[in-house]
Amino acid sequence: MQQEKDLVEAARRGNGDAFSQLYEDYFDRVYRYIIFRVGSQEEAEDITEEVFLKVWQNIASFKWRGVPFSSWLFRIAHNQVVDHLRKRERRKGVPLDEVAVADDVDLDASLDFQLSVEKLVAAMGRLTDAQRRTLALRFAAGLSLSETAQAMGKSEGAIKALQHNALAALRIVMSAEAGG
Amino acid sequence: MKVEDILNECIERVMGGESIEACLARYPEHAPELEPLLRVAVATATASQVEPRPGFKAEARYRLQAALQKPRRRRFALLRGQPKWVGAVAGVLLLFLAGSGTVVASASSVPGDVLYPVKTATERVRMAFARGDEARAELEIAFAERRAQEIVVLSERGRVEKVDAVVDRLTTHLERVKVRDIEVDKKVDRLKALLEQGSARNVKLLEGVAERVPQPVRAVVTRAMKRSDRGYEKAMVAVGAPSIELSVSAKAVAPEKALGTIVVSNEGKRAAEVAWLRGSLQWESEGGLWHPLATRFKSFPALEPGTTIPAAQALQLSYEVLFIAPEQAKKLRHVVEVKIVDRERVFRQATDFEAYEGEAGQ
Repeated sequence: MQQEKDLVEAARRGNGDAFSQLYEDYFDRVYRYIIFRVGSQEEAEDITEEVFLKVWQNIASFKWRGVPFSSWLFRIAHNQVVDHLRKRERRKGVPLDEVAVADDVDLDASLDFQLSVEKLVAAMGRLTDAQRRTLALRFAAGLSLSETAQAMGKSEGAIKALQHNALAALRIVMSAEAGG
Repeated sequence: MKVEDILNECIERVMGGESIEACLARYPEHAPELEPLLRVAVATATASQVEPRPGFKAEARYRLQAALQKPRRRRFALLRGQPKWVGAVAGVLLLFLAGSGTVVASASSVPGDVLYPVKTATERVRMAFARGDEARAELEIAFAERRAQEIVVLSERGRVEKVDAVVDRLTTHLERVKVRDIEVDKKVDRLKALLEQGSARNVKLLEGVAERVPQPVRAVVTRAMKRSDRGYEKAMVAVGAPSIELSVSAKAVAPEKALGTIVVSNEGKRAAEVAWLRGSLQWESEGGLWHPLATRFKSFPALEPGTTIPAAQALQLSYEVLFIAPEQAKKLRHVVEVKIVDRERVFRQATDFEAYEGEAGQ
C-alpha cells in the first residue's frame, strides 16, 4: 500500500513512469468494472481509455484524506459510466457485444447456473443503480468492502446491505429467466 | 449478527479460497438462505473476469501517451480569459522549457513506455520551430543519436521486438539530413563533423551493448548496428562527404595459403583519396573468440599514396596470403581496413572463410 502511495505521489507531481505503473496495476480491473456496467466491449474500451485520461488530468488534485486511491479512481470510472449511459439512453438501443471470457475461468460444475457477462449485464438491468454499482465494484473490480464504501460514499454497513439485496435480487432475476 | 454481515464474511472467505460448503458449515442456521446467494456471488465474480481484448491494452496505452502530450488543464489556470493563441504559445513554451515534469520524464523513455509519445511530440515541435536546412539537419542528427540510445535500453530490457522499428526511425532521421547545395553551403563541414561524431558515438554505444547482452539479442543489435552505419554513410554522401563500401572475399586454397579479393567502392559523389589500406587474418577459437594469425602477404595490394577512386567507381584488388593456422582453427576471418582522406573513421570489413579441408578423396 505504501508503494502505491509513493506511486500516486510521484504521479501527482507529473512522473509518467509512476502513472504508467498505476495504469498497469488498475487497467484490467477498471475495464472489468466498466464492461460489467455497460455490457459492450466496444463501449467498455472507449470508457476505459477516457477514465485513465481523466485520472491523469486530475491526479494532481487527488488528496489522500483517508480515501484510498482505488476508491477515487473508481469514482471517476463511475462518473464516466453514468455519463456514457446517459448519452446512450438518448441514442437508445445499443446491443450487447460478444465478449471473451478468460480461458482459465473454471466455473464450478455444481453451480445452479453459469453466467456469461452478457446475461449478467442483462440481469443487472433489473437491479437498482446502487446495487449494480456495488456488485461491479466488489466482484468485477475486486475492491474490498471498505474501498467500495469509500468509492460510493456510504458506510460499510450500507454496502453489506446493498450487496445482500443485490445478490438476492439477481438470484430472483436469474431464476425467473432460467424458469422460462 | 445480521445476515448481510455473515454473507459478506462468507464472500470474503470464498473469494479467499474457502469452499462454499465450509463457510455454510460455520453458520448452519443461515445456510438455506446463504447458499444460493453465495452461488450467485461466485457466478457473478467468475463471469466478470473478462479479459480485455488482446492488443487493446497496448493500443490504449499508446493513445493515452499521445493524450499525455497535452499539459494538464490546471497548468493553464493562469491563462483563463486569455485569447486561445496565448495558451497555444504557452504550451509550446512549456515543451521547450522542459518545465513540465512530463517532458523531463519522457526524455529517457523508449517505445512502449507511456511517455514515449511525449518525447517524439517534443521532437516534432522542436523540428517545426527549427529554422533553415542546417538547423533541421542538426536536429535530425541529434534525434538519430537518441534512437541509438533507445536501441541500447530496449536491448538491455530484452524488448528486441521494438528494435527494428527504432532503427527504421533512426535511418529516417538520417535520410532527412539534406542541404540545398553542398558546393555553396559553408556549414556543410559542420554537418559532416556532426555526422561523423554521431556515427562514432552510436557505434561505441551499440558495440558496448552487443557485448553485454545474450546471443539472440546480440544478433538484433548487430543488425541494428549495420543498418545504422549504412544510414550514416548515406547521410555523409548527401552532405558531400566521401564514403567507401568494402567487399572482401577469401578462400583457403591450401592449409597455409588463401586467395582473396577486395573491392573498394566509392559511394560518394566525388573522387575519394585512399590514405591507407590494411589487411589481417584472424582465427576463431572455442567460445567465439578471434585471435590474430601470423601472416605473410605475398601480394597484398600496396597502394601508392594519393591513389584516388573516382566517384561511383570501384578498385578491385587481388592478393595471396600465407599463414600458419592452429589445428583447432575451423573458421578464419579476413579483416580489411581502409582509411580515406577527409574522413575521420576507418572503414572496416570482416569476412569469414573456412579453413582448408583438402582435396576431395584425400
